[in-house]
Amino acid sequence: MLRTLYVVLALVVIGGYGYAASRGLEISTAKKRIVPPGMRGAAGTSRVFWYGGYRGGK
Amino acid sequence: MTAANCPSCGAPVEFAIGSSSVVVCGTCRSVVARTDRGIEDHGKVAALIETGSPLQLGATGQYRGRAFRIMGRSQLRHQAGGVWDEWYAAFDDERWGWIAEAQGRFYITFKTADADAPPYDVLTLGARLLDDYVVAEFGTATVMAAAGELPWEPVQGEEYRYADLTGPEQRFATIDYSETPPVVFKGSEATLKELGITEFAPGSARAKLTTLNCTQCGGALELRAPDQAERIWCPYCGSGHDITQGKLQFFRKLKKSRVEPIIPLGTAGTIDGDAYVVAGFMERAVTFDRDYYWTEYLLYNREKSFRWLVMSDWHWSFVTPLRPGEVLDAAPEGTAMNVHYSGRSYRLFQHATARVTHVVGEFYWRVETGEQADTVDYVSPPFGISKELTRTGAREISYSHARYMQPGEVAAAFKVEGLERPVGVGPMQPFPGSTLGLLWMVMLALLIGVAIYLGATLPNRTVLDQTYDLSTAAVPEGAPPNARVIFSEPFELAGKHNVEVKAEAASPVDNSFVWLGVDLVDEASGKMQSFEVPLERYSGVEDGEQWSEGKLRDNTFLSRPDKGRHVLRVESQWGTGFPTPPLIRLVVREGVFRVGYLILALIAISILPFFALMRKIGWESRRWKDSVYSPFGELTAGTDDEEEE
Repeated sequence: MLRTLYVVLALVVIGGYGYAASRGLEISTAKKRIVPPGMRGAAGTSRVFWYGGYRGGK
Repeated sequence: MTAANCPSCGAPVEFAIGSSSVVVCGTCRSVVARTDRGIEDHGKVAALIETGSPLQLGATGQYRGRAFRIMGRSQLRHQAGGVWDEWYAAFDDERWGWIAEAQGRFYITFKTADADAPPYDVLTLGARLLDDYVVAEFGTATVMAAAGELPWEPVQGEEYRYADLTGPEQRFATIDYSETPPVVFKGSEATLKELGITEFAPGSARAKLTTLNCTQCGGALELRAPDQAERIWCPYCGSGHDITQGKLQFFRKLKKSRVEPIIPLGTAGTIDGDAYVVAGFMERAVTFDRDYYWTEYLLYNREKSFRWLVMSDWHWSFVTPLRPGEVLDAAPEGTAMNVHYSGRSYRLFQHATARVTHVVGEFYWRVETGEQADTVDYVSPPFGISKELTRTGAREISYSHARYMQPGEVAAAFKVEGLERPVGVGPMQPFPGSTLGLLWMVMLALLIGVAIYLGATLPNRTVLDQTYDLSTAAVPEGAPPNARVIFSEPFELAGKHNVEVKAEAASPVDNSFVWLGVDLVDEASGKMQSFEVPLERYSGVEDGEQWSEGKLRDNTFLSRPDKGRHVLRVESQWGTGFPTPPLIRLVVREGVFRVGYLILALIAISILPFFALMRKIGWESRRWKDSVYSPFGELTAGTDDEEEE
């Protein structure tokens, strides 16, 4: 009984690991949002979206 | 054939075999020898006692393609008091075969001329001699009686020394030290069927003897193995009797015992498909810090002969005798750490001197209370090997193989009720759970295989690696002077894998921080994933101790974004430890192998096996707690009252 239970659990773990790793799934705390198209060109302050295209960097 | 008359009584005697030495006169029991001087009388021998043997003079058989006829018989007394038969078979190729009979087993041997036997005085029990034979017993035999035509001359009461040896594949040998140099007989153990004997002796007086009455109390004593019993102890009054020629000879009475057999004498039962009857019962004990007792039931089956059912602390085991040659023992007269039998290794558990403390019923040897033997026990659950060494009288080494029996199996076999649950963990008791060790290794291999595949197939591709000078970056409107916003160059993501974003403060820093608010932005859809990266480093001296904390590089993993062009938007703010706005390095990689997740998966598949292993270790620790050879260290004191199934 314990052997069967273990085999099932272990296969679920290994299968889950393989699936998640190959599909690029992450346990991430990043917040997902969508920037409204109208906001993308607007100037803003800290944490307000402000993006009109690449500028900066070396 | 030579016909003659007995020199003593004149009765006709006949030498049927040319190579025979003597004929015992059937009328007056004179040993009639033919010599260069003619027929001579060499004295008398006693009449045979009835042993219930199925063999008889004149019986014919066939062994390994050669026909034989049993021409003679002698009876010899063992130092322990018992008597065994030797039969002499004349083969059609003019060889003599010796057929010894003991405890229902038959051993056929032939005289050999080339064997080199060691002197008697250097013999040791268990020694390997004569091409892989093992010395099982050596001692002195006494000639008691003879009949028929014999290849040697029996002398009533003459003693001679012998050694019995066993080998692999049921081989058997005897060294006869009555001559110089000693004579070696080699052969094997054989069944009556293998000896081709189909004519059996008619039911002997002793074989019919199944019920006797105790000479002291008159109680009925039923014999379970009348042809093999040597001694019977009355279950009613404790009187001990030797069984000789169908009669009981009282010799001693035991005190009333405090122990009674749980399975009554005469109870029939079936173990491994073989029917047994309980013939005898004894209690034995060893002394360490105190006396430890256990009980043994002697079981009898006509074909299998004798077996034992042993009970200690309500742990039961079924015990089968082994031939010494079957056990590989590096120290036969000592305590090797391991012995091997049938491809299995057994570990030393205990050794002691066991003594019989109570006995009742019938036995195939002349057992009595106080009898001692050195015992050495080895275990390999659910099996065990026991070695017993008898060092008084005839020196003998015997091995037996034990199999653990659950109480339910014993109860079902003998239809007994009320068996108590075993106390503690028995030396041979198998671990009731699963260790999962093999399965864990299989799963580990599978996990490693998956990880290797992932490592080989994930792209681990760097899509961005840039350093930014925040002093040149834009200051957001309304933001403090130590805040900047930068955007990375756009980069393409395949949208199939995870993304790792690394950030690093590339400027020297002293007790300060850089806080980064990072957005990974999909330029086409506007979807973004936001996260924060605090970089900091603080150090100082406190109570004379140098300390430091914080880190100047960090990374974050993001679930796979959609396929397409992306950009990093980074808000930054830094502390006063930077004289000028710091340099920030950003690295983005796609399809990164995650070692952390592999470790998590490894832990996940190891949890159950770990707890199973801990349980197994606990079980084994309790198994070995009374052993001085415990692999868990020194003998631990204390009690173990926990009961197990």
